[in-house]
Amino acid sequence: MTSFVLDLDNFQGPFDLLLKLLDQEKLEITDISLAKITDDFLDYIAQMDLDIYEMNSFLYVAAKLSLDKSRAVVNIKPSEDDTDIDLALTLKQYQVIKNRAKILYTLSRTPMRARDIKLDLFPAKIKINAPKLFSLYMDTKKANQQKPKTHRIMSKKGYVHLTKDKFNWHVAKLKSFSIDEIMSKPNNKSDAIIFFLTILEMIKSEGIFEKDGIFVAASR
Amino acid sequence: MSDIGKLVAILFCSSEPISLNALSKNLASDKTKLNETIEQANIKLDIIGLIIIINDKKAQLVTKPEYSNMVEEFYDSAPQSLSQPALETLGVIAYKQPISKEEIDEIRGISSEQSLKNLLNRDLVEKVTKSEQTKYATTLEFLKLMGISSVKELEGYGNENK
Repeated sequence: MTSFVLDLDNFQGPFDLLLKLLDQEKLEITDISLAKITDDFLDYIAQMDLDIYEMNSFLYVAAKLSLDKSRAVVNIKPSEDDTDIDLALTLKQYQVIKNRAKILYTLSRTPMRARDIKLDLFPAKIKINAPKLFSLYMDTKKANQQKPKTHRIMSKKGYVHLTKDKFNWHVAKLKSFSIDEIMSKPNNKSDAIIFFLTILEMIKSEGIFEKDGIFVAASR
Repeated sequence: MSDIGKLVAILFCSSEPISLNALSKNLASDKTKLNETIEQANIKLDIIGLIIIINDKKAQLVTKPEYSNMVEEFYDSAPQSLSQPALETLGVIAYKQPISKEEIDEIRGISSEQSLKNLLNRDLVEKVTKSEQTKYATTLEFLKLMGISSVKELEGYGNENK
């Protein structure tokens, strides 16, 4: 049974660091506030151990902060074709994301749970038709011929007598036979086993053979 | 046998979500009828602390969130942690899905590659293709983790323009 607990200890990314610095100084998210914490931000990232990808993200924000601060000092408004992000707006959006992360954290404390048991409900269906059964028998026979024969399973006579009445009914279904169909009813299991053994015995005694996908009786 | 009975029986026996297509096929009903059956089943399941959650592809029978702590204590199950970056990434996806990695990175100001890998590994998000672009959306596993039956139940969901 698995659930998740969220770790909210560390900040992540330049936006997170900016929010932390603003919070530390008790400042709102405005262009003026961002100008005030620019130096702190630069000092902070200079001490950080960043990988190349993180460095790229932090440097972009650092450059943007520095540019905005310089513009504020000399009182220059961004031009209309300025495609840079609005840092204050972006930061407000990120703050929303952080709040949502907290919502998810709270929700995740009471997860729903499903059954934890994996049931093999959908086993692969084994379709056995006449050619396949015949082929299996022939392969087995070939393999057995190379070994000394030590015993017989049961006499042919026993099987044939036992299933005489049901044999014709089963043969009619042999063209597209599904073992699942018979096995799905517990009472049929013994019949199915006897039936298969009978078929094998009859193939072995050459009482039936496979032709065009079905078993046919040998004419004697 | 009622459709509700059949539906609950199928879902009860599986520990995995079942596709809505398979349910429709087995219950011989279209998607609208299936949704109605799920709604009716949830009314009956409510008194025994269970609920069927669905997204646009799958459905699963789960315990209601109010039983979470009790079940956790009973089975003494150790919770797995989800990191802050993964949580933020999940938040972006949940509220703005489907959304591309580039859009997520832009909102977070940093690469979300590792977080996305973790979330994909935990089946909390999945890739969906929209207009030949890979985007990300939340899964049924996400709903289970959050204890909600739809993303619309998330606080503030739909309050903004995407």
